[in-house]
Amino acid sequence: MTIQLRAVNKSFMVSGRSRRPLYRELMNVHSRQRREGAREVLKSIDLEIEKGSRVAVIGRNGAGKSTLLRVMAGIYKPNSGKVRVDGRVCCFLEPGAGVAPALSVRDNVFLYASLAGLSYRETKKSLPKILEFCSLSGQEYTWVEHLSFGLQQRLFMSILLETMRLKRAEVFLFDEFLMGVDQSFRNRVEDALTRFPSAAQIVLHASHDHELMLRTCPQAILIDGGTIRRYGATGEVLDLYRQEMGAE
Amino acid sequence: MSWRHFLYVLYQTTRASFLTQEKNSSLGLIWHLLNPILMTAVLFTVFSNVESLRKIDHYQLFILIGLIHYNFFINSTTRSSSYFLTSRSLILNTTVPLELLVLRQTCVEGLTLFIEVMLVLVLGIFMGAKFGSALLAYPIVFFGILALSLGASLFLCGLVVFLSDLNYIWGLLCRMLFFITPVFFSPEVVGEGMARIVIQMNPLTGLIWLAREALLYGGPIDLAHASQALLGPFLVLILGGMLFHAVKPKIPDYI
Repeated sequence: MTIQLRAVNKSFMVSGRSRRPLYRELMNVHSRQRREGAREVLKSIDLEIEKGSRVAVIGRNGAGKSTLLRVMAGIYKPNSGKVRVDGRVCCFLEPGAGVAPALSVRDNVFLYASLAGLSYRETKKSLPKILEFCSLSGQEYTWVEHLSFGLQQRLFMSILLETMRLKRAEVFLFDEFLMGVDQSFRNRVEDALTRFPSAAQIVLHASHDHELMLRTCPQAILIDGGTIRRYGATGEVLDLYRQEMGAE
Repeated sequence: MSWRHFLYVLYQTTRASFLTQEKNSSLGLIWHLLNPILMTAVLFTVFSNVESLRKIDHYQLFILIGLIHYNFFINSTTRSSSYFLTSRSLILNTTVPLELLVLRQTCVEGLTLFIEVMLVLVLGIFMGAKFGSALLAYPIVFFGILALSLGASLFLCGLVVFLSDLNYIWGLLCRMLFFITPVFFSPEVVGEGMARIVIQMNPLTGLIWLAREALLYGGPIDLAHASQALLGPFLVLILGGMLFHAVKPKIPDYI
């Protein structure tokens, strides 16, 4: 067992940090009342994911997919329930979070790889492979801000796949990581995702790209309104999801 | 995350912040030297005619040492809290320890302080400052002020997520702090009384005194005095760390 969630609930206070001046808050009592209370995003989640699983996380917008991944990553603490994750987590929930666009590709490889869990020596050794995988060989000293969105995505994804290949983390959490990349890179990533993960690693992937999910993840979770509706074979879960979407 | 990897990530993030900061200005590193020199020139011009201040040995360097340490504290605390708020994407999408984001800014400003101290040493050589064994005590000041700034930054970053106006309040407090920090005067100048007590209670006072003894007057440094100067900063570090640790689980929910 590597990931275990028991009766996990997660809610957010609607009236979080005040983003308006204090005097406006005081003047507008009605609006203050409206913002009170909590919004439940995950409700009584029970989930067990075994080592070696590749799991797609499927659901409509706002269903709680990203929150579920963040709870697994330990970013959000659940309001109640227990989360147990054995092993190091590496996540790619927003492309390029933490990068320095004003610096070179090389600098960013070292920076992003350090956040992903690679040491200096490992990164130095893997640098040519990473650049080759994302087709940026020869552009080591180009500023990242000068790369297109798609190329930036390629770069960050290549670093994470290298982390996977080197087995520097046991759990990989992705959220729509192939947005903006072309078909040739997609094929390369799909191939890597089927070859790289070892039997000890788990890959969870939230996406609306159902074809990709079918090809790369044998299992899927359908999440709706903060609860898990189904956890099973991807084909079946997708059928259920399509039926429900069609019924609306 | 192991300590070794924590330090490596800290190095990478500090380096990236420092280089990005440098890249966003034409003069780059030179600003770190120009800023305190120009401010020292202004303060020296204004206050060197005051009878009680004129008697201070090497008054220019006296001001410069006070100023760089005061600036370090102000810049590291204010920038830590504003960068922490703008690091939302990093906080919500990676597993990077939150303390590292605070420490990163303290380290970036620490590099600036290091460069400024080098400037003081060079100027000290030309102006006949008394360097001696006391210079060896300077690392204590350096780590003391790092501890003080980190403690205050942890305190601010822990609270600014919940209280948006805290940055404005802190900005105001920093301006007030300038007048109770012996940057261009020595505490003896204000005489006895309430003002003196307030100045002595300021944790920057002891550190700046220690820095001047080490970098300018060549000591000797009284051990009791030095330990007293370090007590405040480490107390602030412990309290800031405790507060940050207490609110840390709630930060991603509110940021």
